[in-house]
Amino acid sequence: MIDSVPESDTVSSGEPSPNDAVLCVEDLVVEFPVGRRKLHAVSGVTFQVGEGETLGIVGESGCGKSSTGRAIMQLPRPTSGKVIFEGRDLVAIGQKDLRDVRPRLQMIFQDPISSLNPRQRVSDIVGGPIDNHGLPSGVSVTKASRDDRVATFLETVGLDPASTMSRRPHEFSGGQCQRINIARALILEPRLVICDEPVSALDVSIQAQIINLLEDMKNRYGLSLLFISHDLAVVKNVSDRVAVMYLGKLVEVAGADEIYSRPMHPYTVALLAAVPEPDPDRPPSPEIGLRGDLPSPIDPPSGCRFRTRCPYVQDLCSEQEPPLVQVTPGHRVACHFPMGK
Amino acid sequence: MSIFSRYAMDHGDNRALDSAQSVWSEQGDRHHLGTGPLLVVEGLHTGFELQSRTLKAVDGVSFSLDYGKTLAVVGESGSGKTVLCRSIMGLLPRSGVRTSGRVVLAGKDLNQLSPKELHKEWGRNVSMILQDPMTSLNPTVKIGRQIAESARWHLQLDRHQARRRSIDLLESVGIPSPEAALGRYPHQLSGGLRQRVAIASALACDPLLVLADEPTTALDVTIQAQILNLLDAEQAKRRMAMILITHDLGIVAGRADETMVMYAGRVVEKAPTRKLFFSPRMPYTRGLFDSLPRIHNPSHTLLPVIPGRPPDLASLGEGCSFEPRCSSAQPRCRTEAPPLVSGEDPEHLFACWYPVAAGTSAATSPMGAVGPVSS
Repeated sequence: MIDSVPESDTVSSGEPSPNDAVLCVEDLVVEFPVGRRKLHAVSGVTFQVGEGETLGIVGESGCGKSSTGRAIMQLPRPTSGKVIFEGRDLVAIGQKDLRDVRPRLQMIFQDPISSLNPRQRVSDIVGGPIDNHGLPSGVSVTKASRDDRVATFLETVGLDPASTMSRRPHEFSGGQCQRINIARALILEPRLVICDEPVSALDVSIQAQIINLLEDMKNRYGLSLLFISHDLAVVKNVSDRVAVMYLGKLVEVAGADEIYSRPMHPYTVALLAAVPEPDPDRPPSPEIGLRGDLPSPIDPPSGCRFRTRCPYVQDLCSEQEPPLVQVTPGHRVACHFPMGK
Repeated sequence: MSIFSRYAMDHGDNRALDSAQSVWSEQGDRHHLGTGPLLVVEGLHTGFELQSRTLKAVDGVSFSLDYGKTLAVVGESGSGKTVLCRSIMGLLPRSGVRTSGRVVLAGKDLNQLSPKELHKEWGRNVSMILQDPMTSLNPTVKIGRQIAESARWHLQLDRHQARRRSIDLLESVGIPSPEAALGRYPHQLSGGLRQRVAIASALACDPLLVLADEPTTALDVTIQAQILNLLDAEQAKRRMAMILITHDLGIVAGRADETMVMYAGRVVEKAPTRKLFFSPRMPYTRGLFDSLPRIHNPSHTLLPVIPGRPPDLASLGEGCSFEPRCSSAQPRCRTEAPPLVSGEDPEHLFACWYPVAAGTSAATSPMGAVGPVSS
């Protein structure tokens, strides 16, 4: 067992305190009915995203990272928990109030082509948020001011407005469609953008372009990002802090450099060891200590959810669920026997 | 030509050996005899006929692969790597597709075979592992039958022999309780286990060559490592050759003997994997390496990128197809396509008029925050 550092002295590590966080997620639970049983997609997740911060969420498919992102957007609403954005709990407020919040809370999806309406022209796709919500400054919208703004944002994301405005999504490549998605998400100047695997569907050379574009946009507009991805290398390159999810639970949260240099949860260690490195001198990942597959989220294991695959499992792990506690400042781990401790 | 006939003979001998001995003694001695080239591809062109023009998906690809070796084919989507794989297998439809060139596997030109003769090669001498095991396995057929099918057909095993062979195969690919798994349907298994089943069925007749087309792209990283290690182990055990098609340079390192980079239907660079990684000569390869997000990078590293995007295959110009995106392009690149030739090192082929200087390592280059940032 580990000695947990008292919760109060968190701040020194760059972990945002609930007061200056853009987003506070508290004990978020997402469950889906499966016949008479329940699929536990997200089971009690708590984290904050600070002003101007990028929080990366990594995990394998089925770990609940996308469900977390969608639950924050209230698409659909979570089963329980709190999502506090701009001082309001989005879970508790009605549809109408939620609509007022949306301009400042946007999302970018994985598949750039299917997330665009194929029948709309680019000017209508990117201008759509203005038609729905008006301009962020509150000034009344005119055709000219709308088109101006659309053109400006298309230009910022690296598309030529003159030649793109009147075209439709099928005329663009995946990378260009993702640029259109980014322009649409940013046109109302949101505070927080949830990026759900924004580069996973793109080719290597295009992926780097979009990562750089997101970084550029973040700096230019002072955005906070929640960056959801399965790719650890991508997450490392964009995030200030990283949260690792496994089967609906957060297993480790720490600063990006910290978590990659001193991972403490056995799952994080295994994930990092499995990343293929383009270096012929580094032997390909040896047989990593993970046995078997992800257990079913319909019937998750008792105690620690990772215990069925953990190489260091002990009796305690099946009896007691390890809480997510702070081990060193800003580094939280949910493990009875964290590594390197 | 003599080498081909020799391999054909070796191969024929092996067949005799196979039928004489117990055919399903796991490896037999079948692959011991092969040395030298197993697969020779010469001037392979595959074009898809569109209404007014031809889309050149594979444009003059030549290479050879020795017995027991691994060749990685790396490229972005649309670079022709999957079409190359299907052209080698002879899996493309005959109408609307123009194929020319030679694909010689163990002495037989697969392009000259009739569909019936080709069927005898599939599964027996060359088999394929596809990206998505859910679509490559038949959802309505139990796993046992799917694996045994090719063994029963090619090796004329009876039901009991086939069953035992399936159990052996499932065991060797690491399926827990293989006997129970025989009676399951693909949807009852997880993605990783399904890919193991797909591998088992590809290995069922001990092929000489396996074409693995993005075998781990649909899988999670931890499962990906397991599957790649499994493929490595099986390959070593069976001495089969493998063509590993992937977009991920990370999985190539340390696993492939040679690596071939494709761009717009052509091979632009081919070298032993270490050489390619440590000293890429083609600016495209170099750019690919540089634009990879690395796990050692500090947060918020600005990645050097290749500007623009891959060309439209239906309207390629005269010159080098990478020229519009290349930072070191010269007027000559626009008018003349560079051939795939070697520089000082005869093993290292590249198609570029103005190659990157040899010895500038990409794999270990410090990924600074500087670099060209496109659009």
